[in-house]
Amino acid sequence: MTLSPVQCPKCGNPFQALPSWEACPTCGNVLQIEVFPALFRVTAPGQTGEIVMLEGESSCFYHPHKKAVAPCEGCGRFVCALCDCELNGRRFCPACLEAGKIKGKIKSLENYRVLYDTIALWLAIAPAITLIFWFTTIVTAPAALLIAIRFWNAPRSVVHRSKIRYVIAIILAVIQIAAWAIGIYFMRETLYV
Amino acid sequence: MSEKKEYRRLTRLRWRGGKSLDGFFSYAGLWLGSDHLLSIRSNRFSEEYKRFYFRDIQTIAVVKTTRREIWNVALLILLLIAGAFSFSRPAGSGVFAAFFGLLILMNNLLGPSCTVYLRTAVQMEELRSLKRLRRARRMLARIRPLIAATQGELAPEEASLRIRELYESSGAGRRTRFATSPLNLSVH
Repeated sequence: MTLSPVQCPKCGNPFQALPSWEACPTCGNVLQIEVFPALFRVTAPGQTGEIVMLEGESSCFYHPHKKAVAPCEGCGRFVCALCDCELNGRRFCPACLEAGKIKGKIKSLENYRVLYDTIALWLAIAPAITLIFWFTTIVTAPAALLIAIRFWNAPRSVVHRSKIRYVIAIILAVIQIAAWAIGIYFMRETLYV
Repeated sequence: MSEKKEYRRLTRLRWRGGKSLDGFFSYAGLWLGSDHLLSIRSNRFSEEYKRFYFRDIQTIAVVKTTRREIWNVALLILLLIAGAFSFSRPAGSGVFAAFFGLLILMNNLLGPSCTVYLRTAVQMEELRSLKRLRRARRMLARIRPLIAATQGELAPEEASLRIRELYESSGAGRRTRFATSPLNLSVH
């Protein structure tokens, strides 16, 4: 793999010397660039896998004619050099990587999460504080309660987060539902008496 | 049982901004993991993650921008308008004038603005949560030793020598020399 030079992030102009609060000669942006050794690291080309030469030699699960080099840490299947995918010091087969990403089993591959706690909290708070839409709480309060209970154990944000949002959402939703129930009860009482 | 904190916050979720509608409604944040930086893009109800492992970070570029000056001009115009109105209706507009004045003060107290780009072998990513130079410097001071611990140190002389080598091996110098050719003739 060829290495690319240090470039201006705005215009792509390559630099001969590291700029330190100097203007880019092409676009004029004043910039500073810090360089780390990874810039000069040549990435080794990917391997294709050796062909099995001896009878009884372990072969790749996905390519039976290729020699196995490692077992997958996800499923234990033997994989050849082509299928051997290294991720943070662990070795996986492509199928496990794919499954790990979809099912969220490999945390470092996870790149998307829905924040159900925030959704529940907003459903519980937003209609109540926007006084014009208070009547929608008849729908949003049960929805907030349902989401909070249904997704109580669902993974929250990758960073921080306690279950406080769920707790607040449940308390507010219960208060709103109770208010509706009391309101409807007294309305019925006044109508029928 | 208390969960062990895997990430430490570098920046809060900040308005991401940008020219697209998508950027307008999204926020960006930066967190520090044990061996990587975690860039979060959020719309408050869902989050997208990008991990930049310390071993893969090649360069970090900080580009000064004129964002602060632009905001100063915009806020100053609003302050002048509110100030002009406050002469005719002192009660209401004075509050607006004070508000815009406060915003101008805050904008200047935050310091010069910048854009930070992080480059790996496969991408150049703008870190949208870092918009002020002071914060960017603080972040850099925090992650520099972590990157050095993973990748090793690079002496300034060696770095400049290798940057020149990269520049020359990429043919960038030669391309620059022939850049004026109207026929864009290939370099021999």
